[in-house]
Amino acid sequence: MKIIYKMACRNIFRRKSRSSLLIIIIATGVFAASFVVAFINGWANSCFVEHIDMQTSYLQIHANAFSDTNDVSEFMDKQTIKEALDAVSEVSCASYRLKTNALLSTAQTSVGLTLIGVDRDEEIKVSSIYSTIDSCHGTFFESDIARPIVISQRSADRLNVALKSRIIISMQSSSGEIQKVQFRVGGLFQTNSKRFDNVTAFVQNTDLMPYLDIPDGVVHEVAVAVNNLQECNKAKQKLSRLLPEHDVKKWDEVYPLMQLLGAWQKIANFLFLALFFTALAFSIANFMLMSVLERKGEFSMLKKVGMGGNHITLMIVIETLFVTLIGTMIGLILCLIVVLISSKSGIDIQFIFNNQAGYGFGTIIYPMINKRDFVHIFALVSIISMMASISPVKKVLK
Amino acid sequence: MIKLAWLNLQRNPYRAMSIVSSVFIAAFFCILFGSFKKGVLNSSADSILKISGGHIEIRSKSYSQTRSIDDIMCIDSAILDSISILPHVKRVLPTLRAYALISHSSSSSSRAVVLVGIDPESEKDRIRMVSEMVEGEWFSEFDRGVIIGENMRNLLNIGIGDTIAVMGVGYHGVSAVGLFPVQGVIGLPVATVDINSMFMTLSAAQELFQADDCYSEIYIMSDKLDKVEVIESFIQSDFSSDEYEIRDWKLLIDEHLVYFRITDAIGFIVMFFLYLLVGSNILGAVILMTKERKLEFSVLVSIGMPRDKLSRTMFYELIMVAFVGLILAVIVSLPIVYYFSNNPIPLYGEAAETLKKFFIYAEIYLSFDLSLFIEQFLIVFCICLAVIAYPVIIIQRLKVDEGLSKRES
Repeated sequence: MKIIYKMACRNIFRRKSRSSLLIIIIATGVFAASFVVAFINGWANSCFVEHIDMQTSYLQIHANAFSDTNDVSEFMDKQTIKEALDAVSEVSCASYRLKTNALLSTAQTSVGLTLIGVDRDEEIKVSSIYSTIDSCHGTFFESDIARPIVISQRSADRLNVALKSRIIISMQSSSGEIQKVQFRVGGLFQTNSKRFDNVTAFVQNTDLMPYLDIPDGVVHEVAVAVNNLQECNKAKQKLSRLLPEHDVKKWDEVYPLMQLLGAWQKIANFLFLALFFTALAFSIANFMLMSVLERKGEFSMLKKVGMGGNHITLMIVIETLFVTLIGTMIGLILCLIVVLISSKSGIDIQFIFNNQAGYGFGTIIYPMINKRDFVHIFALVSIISMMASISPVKKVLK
Repeated sequence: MIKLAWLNLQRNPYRAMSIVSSVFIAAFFCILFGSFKKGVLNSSADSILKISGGHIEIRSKSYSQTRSIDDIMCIDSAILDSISILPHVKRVLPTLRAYALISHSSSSSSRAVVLVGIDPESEKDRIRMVSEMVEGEWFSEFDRGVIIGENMRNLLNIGIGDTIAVMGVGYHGVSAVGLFPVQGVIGLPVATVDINSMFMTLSAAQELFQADDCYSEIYIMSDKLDKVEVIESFIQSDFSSDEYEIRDWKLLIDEHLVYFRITDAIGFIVMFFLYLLVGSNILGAVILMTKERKLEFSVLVSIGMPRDKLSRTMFYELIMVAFVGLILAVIVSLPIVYYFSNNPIPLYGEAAETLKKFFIYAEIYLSFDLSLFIEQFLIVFCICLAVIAYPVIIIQRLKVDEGLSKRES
């Protein structure tokens, strides 16, 4: 038995160039495969982050009937929600919002949309809307304008208003009275989504509260941020258990088309990886086949001097395993280095897009890879190359 | 020289086969990956279009700005028929959409809704595909009833057989008033449509608004996403751009297009790594071959064969092998891709379940596109050309005495 190990080792060192070629091929394959995995991981994470950041946040909590109708009198108690959120470790921060349908009018025209009352300090933690307001388009409730309102640039064009223009907002209080209040434009934001821009405007909580005729300490909507995308489901389950009378929605449930896109993306991921690994398997198998077939003469010689077929097979398998092991290691280490470098700065895939405008977000990908992926790739490649080496040996021995 | 190359190949068919097989694997997987990538993109775009319209939308220019019923377009039904017989047009879906107030005796208030007049037969491919009848029956052609969404039913608290009063403004100022029985309740995956739309047959809507042969939008569904441009160019003659606005799917789902682009970009990058993988494989095979034949080259050079000639022989030999591999790959992948472009691959798993919620069958059609074959063919061929440089360099730098002495050791 020992002699087989010895022979296998010697075989590897005897033909250094071939062994190293094999190692390089496997290392390239493993590197490519693991980097693709890292890339797709990073992509899956970052693709919807913009949508979450700008529009929905990770989770939203509403009073049960509120989400359908935006009815002002369907409010919930802030304290209850807060206690529940504090009890869930996945939650990182939350913004407590008031929300109502409103009509924005100027001298020229009027536009109906959803008015969201926020607290600035809370809101900037869960949403990145503030970052889309550049310096020449005002601020996100930082200026000293009395009763500022932040609307989208699209709405501003429709209403024909500029910074500091006056807008009259009409809304219904919970008792059914129509309230008319004057706000001034404090900032103009712009996201990539026309739909969202057309129907959303932000005001400060404290400015909106007096006109809604609702008790103190209540909210209509709570936008919740969790630590990362993967923990979303867990956090949602925990919250719905803690708040059974409330309606807890994940980001893709708030806007169902996202669910559809997400599902397609998962499918695309899966198919890309499946096909890639099949190609990897075939190319390793092909190369193994070549290197074993090439040594046909050597094997028949060994057989003639009395070595059993099983032993020869074992020898080849040990050889292959050894070479594969080294190759895989090199490939994985290479991948680790590249991922470590690129995960900090991210890889900007903007250059692939023909259209330069409007995709400032979501085009930078931060590759990630975890231990489990490493183990999977390692096992997979070992199995592939073992299988690839056994079948040609059997053929040769006949 | 070509003859010499050919003879070389025949002399050692197994060696030729090993390079052929690595080129074959390269080209085969690149082609498959390319059509998979395109197929996934097309399937996902299609599924979204089924919910949000059609591949092409035609509406009059003034209507797109005002959304007023006075600006809808009147079109002869002969023109619609002529569109529907164009190649690749699957369905023409004329709709008449207008706002109206509805009320029912069970509640004191009235609600503003969008009345959508649709052609019940053609919509079987669109709305019916992405929805589910909760109660009642789908329209037959001349039905006078309305179908409402599940959420609206719950909101208004009405059921099948109840009558809804509709009040609105019809075409050119006539008043549109009528009583309509609720004929069915439909479950739609998109809640916003569900809650503010009411469906009725096109003929009933045209009668209500007194707008015969008038449509607010015409949607065209194509059977293949890549053929939309062809249809567009056909219909441009019927609908002049001064009067009508023709928007294709790229504009219609503008907002989601960025996700498709990203998917596309990721596919591109995975593809790049695929090239790296198959390229290194081909290179490996060629390196092995060159090493093996070093002695042969040395002998040839030492007996007086010019190195250029030897390189050229080598070049021809490898080109031949590469071509065999490439053509083999195209021949094998062609029927596979063709088969799966007509017969979808069903999908299973969590993501497919999500799709089912939207009443979309989780299946993927591969994209059968000749330009894709040519593109991949050329790319892999270029990889081969780059790889061939290796033996040529080796031959040019070959040290004859070393090559020969190896034999002795």
